[in-house]
Amino acid sequence: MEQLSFLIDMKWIASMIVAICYVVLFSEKVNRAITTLMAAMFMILCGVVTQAEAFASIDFNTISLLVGMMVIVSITERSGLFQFVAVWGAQRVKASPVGLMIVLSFVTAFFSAFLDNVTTVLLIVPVTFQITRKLQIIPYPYLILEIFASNIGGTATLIGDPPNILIGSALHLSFTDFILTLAPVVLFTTFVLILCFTLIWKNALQTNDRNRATVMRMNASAHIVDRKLLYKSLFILVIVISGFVLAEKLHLANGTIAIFGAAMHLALYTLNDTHLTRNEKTEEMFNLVDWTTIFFFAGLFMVVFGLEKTGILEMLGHKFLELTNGSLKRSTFMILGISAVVSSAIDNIPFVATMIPILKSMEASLGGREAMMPVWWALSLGACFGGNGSLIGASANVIVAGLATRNGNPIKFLGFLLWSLPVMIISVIIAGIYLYLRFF
Amino acid sequence: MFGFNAQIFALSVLAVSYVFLFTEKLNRAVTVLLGTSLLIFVGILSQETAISAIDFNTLALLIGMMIIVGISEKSGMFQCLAIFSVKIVRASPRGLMIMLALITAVLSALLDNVTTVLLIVPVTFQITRNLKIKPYPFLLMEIFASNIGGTATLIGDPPNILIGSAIHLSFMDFVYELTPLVIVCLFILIVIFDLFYSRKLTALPSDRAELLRINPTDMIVDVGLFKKSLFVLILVLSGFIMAEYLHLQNGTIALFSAALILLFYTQGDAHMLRDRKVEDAFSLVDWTTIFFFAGLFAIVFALETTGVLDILAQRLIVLTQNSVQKATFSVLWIAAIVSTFIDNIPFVATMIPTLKSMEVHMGGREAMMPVWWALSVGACFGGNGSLIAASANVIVAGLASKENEHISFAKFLIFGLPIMLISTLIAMLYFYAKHFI
Repeated sequence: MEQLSFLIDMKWIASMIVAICYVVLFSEKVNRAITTLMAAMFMILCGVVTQAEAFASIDFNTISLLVGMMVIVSITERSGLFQFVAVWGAQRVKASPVGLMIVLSFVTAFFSAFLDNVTTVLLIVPVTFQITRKLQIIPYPYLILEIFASNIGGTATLIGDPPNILIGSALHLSFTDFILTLAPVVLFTTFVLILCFTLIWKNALQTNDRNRATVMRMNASAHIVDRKLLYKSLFILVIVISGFVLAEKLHLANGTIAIFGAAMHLALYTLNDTHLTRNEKTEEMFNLVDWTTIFFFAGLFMVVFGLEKTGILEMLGHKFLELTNGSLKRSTFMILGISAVVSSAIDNIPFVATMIPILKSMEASLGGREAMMPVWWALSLGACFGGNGSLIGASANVIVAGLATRNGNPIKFLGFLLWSLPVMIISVIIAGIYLYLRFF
Repeated sequence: MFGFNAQIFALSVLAVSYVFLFTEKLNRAVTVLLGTSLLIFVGILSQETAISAIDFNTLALLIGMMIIVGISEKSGMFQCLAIFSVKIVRASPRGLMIMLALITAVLSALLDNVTTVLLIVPVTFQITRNLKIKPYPFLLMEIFASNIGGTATLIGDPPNILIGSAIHLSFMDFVYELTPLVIVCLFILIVIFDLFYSRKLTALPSDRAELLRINPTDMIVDVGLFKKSLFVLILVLSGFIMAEYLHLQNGTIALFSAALILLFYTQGDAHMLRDRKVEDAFSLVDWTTIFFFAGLFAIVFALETTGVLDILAQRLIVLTQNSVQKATFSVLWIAAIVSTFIDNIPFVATMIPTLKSMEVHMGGREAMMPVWWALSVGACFGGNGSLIAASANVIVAGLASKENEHISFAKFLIFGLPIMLISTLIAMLYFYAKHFI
């Protein structure tokens, strides 16, 4: 009896902590890393979990993967590789506005499949401004297209989007698993998106030959700041990506590959420096890691684990199964719809982190890991595509809006909704049809 | 899986890492991360075992304290404390050296060494900058004093915590047995430093006079932040002291307080500014040191899991031939030497079950107590032997390089090794006089 009351109490305390944590998170009144860390520490202080349990619940594979990739990208960024590709691409289409639209969205989708979305837009948006200014056309359609392309492109790979990193790490899925299942639907969706945009904007975007000539005269390789670093970066990127692809055969976890790549890159980057410069540059690169995000993740893992330990998430899983009558097909489409709607309104990371233990608890009833895979893919697609639903649906959206405002081309919440809602709905419908054809 | 080869390989990775740490041809974090990756590639470690080997309590403590200290520093708190302590010794470098050594030793007996040096080093830099003298000898002294001072109590040093909880010793057991020895060693340390360094340290009378004219409270630049920082620091320190009663670990206390001070620090700021300030505060953490620790934990774990440490312990049993006196002295020296080269925590953790298994042959727990004390003293004093022998050393070196004061691995040995040898020798005489006459 005493133990029973203890359990109820813990359930109640854990739910309260999580509820307050999520409310504060969505109100954005406190920095998100502080919020989840505080909540996690309260879980320990209240005795819901011990420190050892809490630290053990942090998915360090995800953390290592994020930290490693952030270090690699920060160093690579300094070589100017990404800007070079964008300008080079614009020149290949003879700087025509419609061609530019196709190139920029493909480049964005491609980069965001391998880099995180925020980094991608941070790299591509300044180049977009540069080129559209030269062509004297409005950057607005390009910017919103880049938002959509970054969210959709990121869905294609294990490392493209945080929800995928979380799902991949929790289920031990490989890089190739993601590519094989999700790349086709991502390619198709990107294609549809670009087609719609070019048709709608074709007539609004006009420039003259003189402006186009200015863009053609831009020196693409001038964007390469450090040629040696560029080669080193390409070398590391090739190693890391092939490491991801071969991870299963090599019996290596993705976190190891990313950290190894980061350490190698740091070693190459500081190769010929003196001792002090080397240490300074290394420390600088560590500081460029987005620690707020890392601690946000670490805190979130602990908070969700506290909730999981009390058995609440399992209960929710049972409720969900009752709703779907244990049907796999129904579960898949419900998860797709729910994740898309929820992710367009709130940050998809806490949502996915909470959904993972819930879905795991349903495995037995739905016929095991293998049989349940469609549901997991639905979670990934829904959460990632849902990020397009509104301006606050994903961090990349907020970043682009911020950059656009600073440039004098503000993107408004409602104006964006007009575009984003249809895009989100169409892409989710495509995803639904794809999942249906492929699995049912 | 690899048997003998795995041991050789693990040892070679450690040896090669040492070569790089010595020659400083690679950043130390990069060195150990590459070493760990290598151990995972050949299958001695897996990613899971490598991560489980990392002592996240220590890392959480470090990260939390670095954030707290970094933000508190912005209030001018440490400058104020520095001026205050300068006044007591009338700004004489020689007096300062003695006072900083005593403060460090006392603090490290009550707190863990890492926290101690994180608090004392910023104060030291303030003072030496004002007096225009080299901080180097002061930093060295603080490293030695923190390792020696920490030996005196149950909570002063991780080996003591491990030993204390393994054979149920009380706080006072440690104080009675080890405090006299620690005081003697500290005294000798101060005399040595006075002979070698302090006498040569001179500050211009004008600098001293100028420093003495400053009012300590004028150094507080942000009174609001000062009060908030003071509150959080008091909270965190009392948390550490009461940690056992509260059933909380230091990592939790430090991280919680770090989140709290970040909350206070960004209270009332606009969204963008708040996020930028938090991101800046995370940059205050010395990430090179954090990653260095993470990698080092994993490499030493490889020695543990391949049985290298076990072999060492078994040799020891053969060596002692069931004599308590022999066991005491060999444990003392082996602990000191091993702790000079690897982190003493995994070594002590391996030694504890080995020593326990020797109890029967040695005539029971009571009779064997000198051996346990020898393990504690050897492991703690060994921490002075090299720059990476103890966490506090690494932290001081990291803080120093942030201030462009480079403490190199090789240069540290010149002082560290003799200090380690002398203090261990004193310990040997002390144990002999106390237990075997």
